[in-house]
Amino acid sequence: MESYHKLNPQNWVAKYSDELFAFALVRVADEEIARDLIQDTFLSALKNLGTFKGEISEKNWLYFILKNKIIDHYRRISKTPLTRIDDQENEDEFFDESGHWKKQSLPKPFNQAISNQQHTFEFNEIIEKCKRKLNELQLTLFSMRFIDEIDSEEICKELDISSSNYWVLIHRIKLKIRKCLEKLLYGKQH
Amino acid sequence: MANSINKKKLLISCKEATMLSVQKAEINLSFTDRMRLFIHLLICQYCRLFDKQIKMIDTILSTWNTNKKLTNDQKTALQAIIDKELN
Repeated sequence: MESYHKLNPQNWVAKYSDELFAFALVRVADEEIARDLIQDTFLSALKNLGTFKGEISEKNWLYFILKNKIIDHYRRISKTPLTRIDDQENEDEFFDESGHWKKQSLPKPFNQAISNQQHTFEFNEIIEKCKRKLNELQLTLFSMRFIDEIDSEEICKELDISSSNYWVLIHRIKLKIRKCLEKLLYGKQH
Repeated sequence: MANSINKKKLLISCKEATMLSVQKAEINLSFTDRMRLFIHLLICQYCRLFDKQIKMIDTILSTWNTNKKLTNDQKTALQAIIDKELN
């Protein structure tokens, strides 16, 4: 049988490592995790050279393996008891007991307008910083929902969380990201 | 039910209103919830601002990307691992 695509593992690093790294990096907490995932992907690909049938391109095959590695990583996080507990934040930094904004958390206008046109490398750096404000479970949800655009039902199933948990997490993520953007965009003009 | 707001209540807190703003982006709110949010946004400038900014943030997040690359040292290390496996 004729095979259309061939594998050339010697060239993987030179040809694909940067884009696979970028793909992983926007989906996980930091560069170290992203690097580990890339290494795991290459190693797992090498172990499974025999399963490659040439029906998809080498590049798509590597992406396919990486995506599975990322999902495994997400599952590991959602099963870690610590991240679960961590999310039951003892004190609400945004709202008081009656559900009103706490004074220090009242939303302020952004000093810089953000729009798609302005969506530059510099802005990516800002989001990168804000992402670090999230804990691991929030970050996982953030990546699944806003980067991979997986629907909420699927996410709940994958991470084994209830729908009300999902909303509490998304609510908190958006509150945190908004506050962080406010701070960073405000700081820029001063 | 996507939220736990008391059934009879029409006036909601900022915490509840921001939750509805967040949910609005993903699901169709019930008529009552839409009324609740509408009324709250009429009287609360902070939640109105939150609602507006959240919409902007959603658009931006959907196109987010990174330009970060691996360093040459990291690539050399990866290549060494692959070479070792191949031999």
